[in-house]
Amino acid sequence: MKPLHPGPDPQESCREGFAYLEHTADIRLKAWAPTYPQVVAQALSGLATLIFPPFEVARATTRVVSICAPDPLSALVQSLNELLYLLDTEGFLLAHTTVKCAEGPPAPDSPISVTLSLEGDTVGAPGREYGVLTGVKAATYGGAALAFLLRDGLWEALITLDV
Amino acid sequence: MGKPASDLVKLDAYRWLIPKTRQPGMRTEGLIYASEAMLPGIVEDKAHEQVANVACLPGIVGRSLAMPDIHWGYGFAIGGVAATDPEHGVVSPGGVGYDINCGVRILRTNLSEADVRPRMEKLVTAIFAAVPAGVGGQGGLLLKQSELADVLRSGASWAVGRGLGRAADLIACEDGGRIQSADPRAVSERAAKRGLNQLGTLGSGNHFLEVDVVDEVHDVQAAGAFGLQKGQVVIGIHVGSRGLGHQVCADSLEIMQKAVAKYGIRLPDRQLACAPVNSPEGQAYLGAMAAAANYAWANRQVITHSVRRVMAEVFGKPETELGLDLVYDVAHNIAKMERHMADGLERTLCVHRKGATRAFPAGHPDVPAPYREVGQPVLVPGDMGRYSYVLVGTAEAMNQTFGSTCHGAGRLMSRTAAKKDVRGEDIQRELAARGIVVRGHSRAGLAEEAPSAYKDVQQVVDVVHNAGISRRVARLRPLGVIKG
Repeated sequence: MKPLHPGPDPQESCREGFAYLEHTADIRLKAWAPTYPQVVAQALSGLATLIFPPFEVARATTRVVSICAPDPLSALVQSLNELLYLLDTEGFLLAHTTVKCAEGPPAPDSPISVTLSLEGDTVGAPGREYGVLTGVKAATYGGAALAFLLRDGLWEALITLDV
Repeated sequence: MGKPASDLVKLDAYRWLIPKTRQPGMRTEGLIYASEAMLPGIVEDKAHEQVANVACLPGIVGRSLAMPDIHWGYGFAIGGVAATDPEHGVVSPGGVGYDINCGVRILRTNLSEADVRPRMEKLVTAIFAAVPAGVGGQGGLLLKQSELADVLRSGASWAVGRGLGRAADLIACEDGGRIQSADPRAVSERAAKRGLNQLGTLGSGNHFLEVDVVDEVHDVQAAGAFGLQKGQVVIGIHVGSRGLGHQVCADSLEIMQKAVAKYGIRLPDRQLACAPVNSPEGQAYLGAMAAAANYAWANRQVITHSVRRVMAEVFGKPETELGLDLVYDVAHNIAKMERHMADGLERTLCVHRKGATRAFPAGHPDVPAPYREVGQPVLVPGDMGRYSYVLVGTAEAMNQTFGSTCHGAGRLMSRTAAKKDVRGEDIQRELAARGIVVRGHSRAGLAEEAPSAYKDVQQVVDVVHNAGISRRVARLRPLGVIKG
């Protein structure tokens, strides 16, 4: 297993990023970005960094996933759980994400479709040593929040990850 | 009676009431088992609010309960127990958790600490190699779809039937290692796919294998019935249903979100999403949950087989000569239909235990025959630096908590704080200096699971023992630990 690397430090002053907040038993993930697709991408990076740092993962393969959800928060939670599903079933590790959805800010309680283009590699890929740093059971709705903060002009998401 | 800093009302030294008037929608009171010293942490964590929220569930019978290892969870607090009426009440996946049938088993051996000490490094290393963490889809038994369906239907008996265990293992397992009402068809394709390659794996987080020694015996009669004596080495296994169970829970929560609207159920917390027990959604969840529970029992059985093989190799003796009999296997994340007294009548209730363990008393027909005179073994793991406990169920548990008690130590410190506080390598060194050999699949994981991150399980056990809902039998001290 490769040595532990904490990954790039999330900067609170950046226009997009992620951070881990205090939570007794699990991990509280905060992500922020100027647009909804970007905040989904940041949340995925935040989850992936717990599993294995994306900047150390080769972009050897791509998975394209479509998510249809009753609202943007649900789409975010389902996107995170999709990454965990791919890890378990294919050993997929994330390097980079592109998120696409309909133009314009999504309405909070309206159905939404999101397409994730996930570039990465697989655990056990020949010639590359990956481990898994933290096993995450699920992204949950417990304390989940998604909002556009007018004062900052940023989307902010808060998700609790069950580990 | 007195009032502590929050709105909890002290009933006695170990029981704290949440009045029904605390918040609108509460159908009953909440009751938290805890010492006074534990309360500030519980209140700061806001776990008591979750106990109050659970008291709002339709059809709840008796009180919304919480054990002293309580901490914040999803919907239900970890340590939460609630029973609902199957005719008029609901079932809530949040009352079971993502890791369906996360549970513990212990095997007793014919070995003493002096027997294992010289080989502890070799033993821990061999177990570490033989039992994969299985994170990232690697290392488990590879099942075909038809085999998986058998696992989901048959649980531990699937494994025993394939030579991966002993017939006696099924007797010493809660529910014989199988819930009969499991419905593999209710398990989604996505959940099934996650289960195809994880059987026999440990997972990560707080899951572990441990080599312990019986450090103290508190109840000689019960310990004798369980085949435990001071100085005896035992093996502990703590793991659940892996990705299959997590997916069953996630799938069910999505369905239950819609069910809440369909059945007009008003809830204080979205994560308490539920459906009437008797509804198609409720029955589907119970069928899928039971299937996932069976997977977990099969998982612990397969791991048991691996451990027995390793022990035989390391000690150069047949398994049977080493003993390695299963003492008991308990589930601590589950919902079950059980018969309990409520309002003066014996009724079937849907009992949710989320981070809580069944603790049935002497004489109960569900306690295996060899233990029926003393009561059901209860296994309570602590952290990897201190102790674990074996308790026994009591009649008082049936009176107060639907036959339930605590499940573990409960966390004190967040994972991020634990990783800042200590490094995995340092934990290994410190524990090695105390004679505990530790191996982990992740150094970050070891840091997160540092002893300092957990409550002292002795304090948790003191509460349940003094409250009468289970009784101390033996204390176990770790010699070797394998973390996922």
